[in-house]
Amino acid sequence: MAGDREAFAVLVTKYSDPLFRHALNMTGSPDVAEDIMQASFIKAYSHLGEVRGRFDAWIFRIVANGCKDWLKNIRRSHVSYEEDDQPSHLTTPDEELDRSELRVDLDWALGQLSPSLREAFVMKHVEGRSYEEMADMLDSTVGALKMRVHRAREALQALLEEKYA
Amino acid sequence: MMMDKHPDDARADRSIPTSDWRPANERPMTDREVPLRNDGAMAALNAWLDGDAPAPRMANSQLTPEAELWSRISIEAASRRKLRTPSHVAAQIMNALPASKAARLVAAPAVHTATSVMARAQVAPASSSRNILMPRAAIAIIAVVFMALGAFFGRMM
Repeated sequence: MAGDREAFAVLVTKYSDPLFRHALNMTGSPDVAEDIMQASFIKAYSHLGEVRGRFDAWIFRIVANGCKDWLKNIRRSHVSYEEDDQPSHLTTPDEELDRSELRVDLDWALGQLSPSLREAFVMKHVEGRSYEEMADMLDSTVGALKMRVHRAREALQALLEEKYA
Repeated sequence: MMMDKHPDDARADRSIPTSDWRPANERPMTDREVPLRNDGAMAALNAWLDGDAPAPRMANSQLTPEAELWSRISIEAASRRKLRTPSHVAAQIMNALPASKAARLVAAPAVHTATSVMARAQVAPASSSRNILMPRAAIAIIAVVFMALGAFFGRMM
């Protein structure tokens, strides 16, 4: 019994950083990212027997779906990125980040994107994944994801260019 | 009493916000289809950001304003790659795990896929399930011995 928990603890430690980064950049809130992480790992633990293929891709999909569901629900309930929900809490253990104008504006602009465009942008630009890797993780095609990233860039540029370009 | 129906009233009745009552250009970005701009500037920008072409530059060889913006965005995005999970999160997750699952995993190994077994095998001691199963076997043997002894003494009496 203890062996299973220890084994799972190793998986949690191994995969939590990229999953947390994804959840944080998708939701903009560390608290929400933590909640999604916790719910996702509990779900994974309860359904370990259903893993098909790579564990990291499987748990990523659980977290990614959790993020997209949260984004859809938060829009439905009229909650928007304001004040405390603004992703201004982004911190690293090393540094208390200087909240530059661009950072705040980029977070705001990301909040304007649809969940799927935001997901594509975060995976490509924030997580630095290749299109092939994204296609593998999201069970999609390189062409479709390229299109999504291009649309996300255009949307972000439209939102930011007046001020910055 | 008759009342005029205004778009705001109609919207207030809905628990789920819809945006179709507003002109397309006034809707939030989330509700709009973002048409791909077919201009050369955006195509050049996308090609550069995908690593397929050099950065778009002006005649004086400086980055175009759009490329400058994306250069700044890329720096900001890259800095987010350094983010680490807060240290308390892993402990929180482990504390929140249901207690019964591990027992189920040991009791029903037949339902495991190769992957889950591999995942456990990477980190679990090889003898973890054996430690639980061996005492059961020993108990069963002892029970059989006691039953045999009981039957023997029962006959003697």
